[in-house]
Amino acid sequence: MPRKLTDILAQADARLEYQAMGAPPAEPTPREVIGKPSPRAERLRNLYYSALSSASSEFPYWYTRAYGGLDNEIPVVRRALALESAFRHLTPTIFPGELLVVGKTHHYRGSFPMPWLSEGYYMAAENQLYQDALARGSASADEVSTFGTGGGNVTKSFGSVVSIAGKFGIRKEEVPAMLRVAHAWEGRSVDDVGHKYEQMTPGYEIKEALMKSVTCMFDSGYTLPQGREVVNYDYPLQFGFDELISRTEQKKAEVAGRADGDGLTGMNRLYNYEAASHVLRGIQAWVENYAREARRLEAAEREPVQRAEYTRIAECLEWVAHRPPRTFYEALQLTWIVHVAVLNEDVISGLSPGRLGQVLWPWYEQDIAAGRLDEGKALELLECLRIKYTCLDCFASMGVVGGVLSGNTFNNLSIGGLDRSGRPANNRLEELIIEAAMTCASTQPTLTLLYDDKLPESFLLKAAECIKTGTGYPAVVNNRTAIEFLLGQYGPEGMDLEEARAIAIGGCLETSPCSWMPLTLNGRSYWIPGGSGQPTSVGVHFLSLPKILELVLFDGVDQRTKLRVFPGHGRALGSFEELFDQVKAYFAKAVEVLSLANNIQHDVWRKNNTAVLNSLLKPDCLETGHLINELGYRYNATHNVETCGTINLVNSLAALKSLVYDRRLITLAELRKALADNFGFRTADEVGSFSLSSQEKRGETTEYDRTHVECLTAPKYGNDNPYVDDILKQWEDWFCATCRDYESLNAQPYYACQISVSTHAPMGAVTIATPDGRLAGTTFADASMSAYPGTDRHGPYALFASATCWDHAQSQNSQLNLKIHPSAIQGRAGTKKLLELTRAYMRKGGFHIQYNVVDSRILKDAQEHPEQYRDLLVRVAGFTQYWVEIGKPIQDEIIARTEYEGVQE
Amino acid sequence: MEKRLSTAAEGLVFDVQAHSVHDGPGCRTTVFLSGCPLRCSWCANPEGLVARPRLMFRVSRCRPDGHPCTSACPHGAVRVDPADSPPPHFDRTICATCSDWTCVSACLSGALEVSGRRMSVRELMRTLERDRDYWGPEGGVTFSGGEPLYQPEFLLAMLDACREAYIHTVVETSAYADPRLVADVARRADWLFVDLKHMDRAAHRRGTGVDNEQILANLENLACSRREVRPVVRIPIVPGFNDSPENLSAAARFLVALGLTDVNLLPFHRMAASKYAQLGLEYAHAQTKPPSSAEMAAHQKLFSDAGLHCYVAADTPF
Repeated sequence: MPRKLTDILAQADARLEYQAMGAPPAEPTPREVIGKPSPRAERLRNLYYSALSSASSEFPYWYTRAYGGLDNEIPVVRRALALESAFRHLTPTIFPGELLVVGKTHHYRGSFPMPWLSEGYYMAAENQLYQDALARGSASADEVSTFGTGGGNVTKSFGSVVSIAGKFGIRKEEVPAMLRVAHAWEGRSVDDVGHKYEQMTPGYEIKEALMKSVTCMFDSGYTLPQGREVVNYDYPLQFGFDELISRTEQKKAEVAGRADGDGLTGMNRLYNYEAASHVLRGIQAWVENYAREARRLEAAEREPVQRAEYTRIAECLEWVAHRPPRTFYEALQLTWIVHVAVLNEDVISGLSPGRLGQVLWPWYEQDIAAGRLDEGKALELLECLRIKYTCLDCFASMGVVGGVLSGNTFNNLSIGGLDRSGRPANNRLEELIIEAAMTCASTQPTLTLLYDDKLPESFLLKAAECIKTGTGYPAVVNNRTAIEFLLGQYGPEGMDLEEARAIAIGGCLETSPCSWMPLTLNGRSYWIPGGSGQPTSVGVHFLSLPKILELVLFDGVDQRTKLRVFPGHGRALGSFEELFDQVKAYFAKAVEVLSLANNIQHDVWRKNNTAVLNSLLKPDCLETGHLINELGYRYNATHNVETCGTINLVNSLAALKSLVYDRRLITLAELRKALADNFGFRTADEVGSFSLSSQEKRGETTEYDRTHVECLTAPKYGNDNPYVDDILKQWEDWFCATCRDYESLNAQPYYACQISVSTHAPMGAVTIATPDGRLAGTTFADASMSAYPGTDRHGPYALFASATCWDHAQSQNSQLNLKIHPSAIQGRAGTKKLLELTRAYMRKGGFHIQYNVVDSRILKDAQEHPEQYRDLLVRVAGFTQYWVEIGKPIQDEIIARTEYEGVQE
Repeated sequence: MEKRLSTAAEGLVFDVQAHSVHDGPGCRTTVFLSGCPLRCSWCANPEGLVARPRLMFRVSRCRPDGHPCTSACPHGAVRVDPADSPPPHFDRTICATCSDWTCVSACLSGALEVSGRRMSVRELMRTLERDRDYWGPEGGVTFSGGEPLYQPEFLLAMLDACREAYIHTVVETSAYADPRLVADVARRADWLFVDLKHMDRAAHRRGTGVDNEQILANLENLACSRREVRPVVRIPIVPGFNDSPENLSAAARFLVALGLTDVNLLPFHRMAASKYAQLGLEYAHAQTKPPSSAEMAAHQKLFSDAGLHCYVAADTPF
C-alpha cells in the first residue's frame, strides 16, 4: 500500500485538511436552490444538455473560396469580401421554442475553425502539420492540456463523428473539405507568416524554448487575437444597418482620393469604409436568411402558438436587418445578432456584452411604461438569452480552449457601477438579469457586479442571493479600484473620470476601457455604455512564475524537458536578495523576447486579418475611417503581461528565505536535489490525481521527509504573516512597474494582468516540485490572490489582510477565489453576512472576489458519478463552467481549495 | 466606576475563529477560552474543559517511523508496547503537568498538537483590530469556551478593551458563576447567550455535574435587571437528556415568567467525536442520534406556542 502524503507529511493540524474554521455538518449540504426557469427556457436548456459541441466547415469554406479569388485586392477589402461571402452563405437554423434566434453555425451548439489564423493544431496528431506545430512549440501546451470528458465535449471519435481539436465533433464526410480548406492556408496563416518574421527577433531561441518548456502558455496573436473586451452595440441600436451602410457610403465619398494631411494612412480610409460596407451587407444578408427561414417554418407550421412565434421572429428579423429596434424584444435580438457577428469575424474568447442591462434600459423603460412588456415576459427573454450565450463555443487549439479556458467563452455581463455623472447605475432590468441567472443557471453570460459603496443595499443583497445559488456569479469587482487603474492606464490617451466610469469587465476579469455613447429613442436622450478599447488581454500570455523560479534554481535548464531555456546565470545565489534578483532578471528577459515575438504576430494579424466589424462598432472608427490596425480605437494601450502561479512563487521564495538563508537548515544544493527527486514521491500522472493531498511516496524512502515538512511548514501567504506578505508586496510592486518598460506594437506600455484562468493546471503539470512543498505535476494555486489550498489557516480575515498588502490599482486585475460551505451563509441572515464579507474585502482595496458555494463532498461524488451531475456548475478562476466539462487537474484543485465553514456550535 | 484592568492580563485561549457567523449578530470573530466548571457529557469542545494546554493526538496520522516522540519526552510519558504495534501510549496524568511539549516538535507526521495557548489582552486586541475591518456594522467579537467566566480577569479586561475600542461583544456562558461576576459581565458586554441545559435539578447534575440553582438564579437576575442587555437563552437539545416535552414546557414557562423573549435551540451533533479520541477521552454520545428536523420543528412549536421567539440552530435573525 503506497503511503500518501496526508499520512506522511502533515506537520500541523489541518495542514492538508481543506476545511478552515470548524467541520461541516454530517450530511453534505446542497446549495440553496432558488427558482426554476420558464418551461420554454427549460426545454431549450435540456436541448443544450444533450447537444454535443459540433464543428462546421461552412464559414471557413466560403471565406477561403472568396479570398482565393481576390489576389492583389487591397488586403482589408479582400478580407471584407471573404467575410461577406461567408456570412451570406451560412445556413440559418431556428429551433422550435426559440424566441431569440441566430447562432454561430447551423448547429445548436458549436463553432468552426479559422485556418487563416492558424491551421496546424486541429489536424489529426499524425498529420505533418501538427508535427510542425509541435516542433516550434506552438502546440506544446496542447500536449499537457485536457478537457473534461463529460457534457457536450467530443473528446473521442464515435460512429460517423470525428473528434477534432480535442473538443468538437464533426461529421466524417465534412472532414476532407475541412482539411483541404486548412491546407489552403499552409504557409499563409497568421501563425505561419508571423512565425517567419518572429524568428528575426533577437533572443528568438529563448522564446521558442519558453514555449516548448511551457514557461509561457500561448501566443495570443494567432490563437485568440480578439476578445477580453466589451462590445459596443450603440451604432446598430441607434442607426440600424441601412443607416450604417449609407454612412459608410457617404464617408467614402468624403475621403476618396484625399490624404487630409496624413500621408501615411489618410488614403486608407476609403478602403476601410469600403470594407466596412461589405461586411455590413454580408451581415444584413445573413439576418435576412434567418428571416426567410422563419417564414418557411411559419408556412409549414400547423400549431397556432408556434406559428405565431415564427411570425414574430420573422417580423423582428425583417425589421432589425435594416432599421433600428423599436421594442425591447427587437433591441435584445439585435444586440445578440451583433454579438454573434463579431464572434464570427475572428477567433475570440471573452467577448463581453458589458453593461447590457444599461444598454437596453431605454427600450425596457419605454416598453414597460407603454404596457408593451411586462416583467414576466422580459424575464423569459433574458432566460432565452442565457441559453443562446451558453451554446457558444470557441474553436481554438486544445491548449488554449482546454488548458486556458476550460471550454469557456467568457461572455461577461457587468451590472451595477456608476453612471456618467457618478450616480448609481443599477436599474430594474439588471435585477431581472440577476433573476434570470438564478432561475436559469447556465455558464453564460457570466455576471460581474461592479461593486460601489453608492449602490443601494437592496441591489447588493440581490446579487448576494445569486452568489448563494452556487453558480459562482456574480463575481464582485471593485468599481473604484478599476476606475483608478483605468485613469492611470488610459489617462495619457485622454480618458477622464467621467469616461472611466463607463468601465465594464471584458472576458473573465479584464478591466476594459469603455465610453458613453449618446442614444435617442422616441425623442428621449440617453447615455449608454459600451467598449471603446482594443482587446485588453493580448500580449505576453501566460508566464509561469514557479517555472521561472525552477529555471533560476537550475541555472536556466527546464527540468522536465532538459531543455536550456535561458543562458546560465552562473550566480552562486548566496543570498536571498541575489536569488530574488535573478528571478526578476529571468522574468524580465522572458517578457522582453515574448513581447517582441508577440508584437510581430499581432502586427501580422492586424495587417492580414484585421477586425472590420468590431472596429466599426467601436468609437471612433466610423468617424475617423481608421480601423483597429491604424489605431482607430479610442484606447489602444491594451497589451498586457499575464502571469500564473504568483502564490506558489511567493510561498517558494518565503520557504527559500526561511530554510536556506535565514535559518540555514538546509543548503541550496540539498534543496535542489530534493526538488529534482520530488521529495521522494511518485509523479502526479502516475498517481492519477493532481491535488497535493493525494500524492504517494515512491517506496519506503524517508530521506526527504524532514526537508519536506520544513518546506510545507515554512511561512505561507494568506495568514497575515509579514514574512511572506512582504515578499508578495515586493514582487507586485516590481512586476507591475516592470511591465511598463516594454512597448506594445501600438507604441504603448505593457501592463500587469493577473488571472490564472485554467492555466494553473497545465503549467503545474510541467513543473517539478517547488520549495513551498508542492509536488511535481500538481496544480498551482488558482488565480493570483487565492491561497494555496489548505495553507490559509487563520480564516478569511487573515487571508484578506495578506491579499491587500499591495495596491491592486497598479494592475489590470487581481483575483481571489473563495470556497464557502453552503451552511456558512444559510438563510436571510447568511445573505447579509456574505455581503458583509464581500464589502469588507472591497473596502480594504481588494479588486476581485468570487465564491464557490458548494460542499466538497458533493464535488467528490460528482467526480465519481458525472452522469448524475450534468447541470452542476462551479466557479473556476474567473468563470463558471459545468463540472463535467472541466479537465481532472482543475477538478482536483477545486475540491482541494480551502473550504470556509462558519463556526459550528 | 470599575477599576481599569491591565492590558497585560493574560488568558488561555484554545481557538480564535474568524468569520464566525453563528454566534451573535453579523460576522464575528469567536474567541474560545479554556476551562469550565461544568462537565456536560455532550460537550462539543472537550479540549476547552480544563484551563491548561492539552495534548491532542491523532492516531490516524501516526506512522511507524521509530516514534521519535518516545525518546523526545523527558518525563517518560510516552511509550510503545513492544508486543503491541504502534500507536504509542501517552500517560495523560503526566502530560497534564507538561509545559515543554517536546514530543510535538519531534513528531514528523503531524499527529501531535497542543491545544490552548496564553495570549495577552494586547495580543488578542491586535487580532480583533485587524478583523474588525471585515465584520461589517453588526459584527464584533464573541467570547465562548469552555466557560469564558472561568477566566474572569482576562474576560473583564477584554470586555473593557473592546468597549473602549467600540467593538461589539457577545459572551456565551453557562451562567454557572458568582452572581456578582455575572452582573459585572452583563454590565460590560453588549449581548449575552446563556445556556439552559435542564430545568430539573437532579437531571441537571446528572448531565452536567453541577446543580442548576445558581444558573436559574443568575438568569432571573439578568432578566430582572434594568440593563439593556437581555440574555438570549440557548438550549442544547440532547436526545434522551432534556428533550422531553415536560422539561421543555417547564423551560418555556420559566422563560415566559421571567419576561424573556428569545430562545435558540441547538440540536445535538456528533462533530466532536474525533476530538474526544485525540484527547484520550471516552465519548459518551457515540451512539446518540442527532434530533431530526421534524423533532426540532416540534420543539420549536412548543416554545412558539408559549409566546417566545424560538429559532433553531443557525436560522436566526441575528
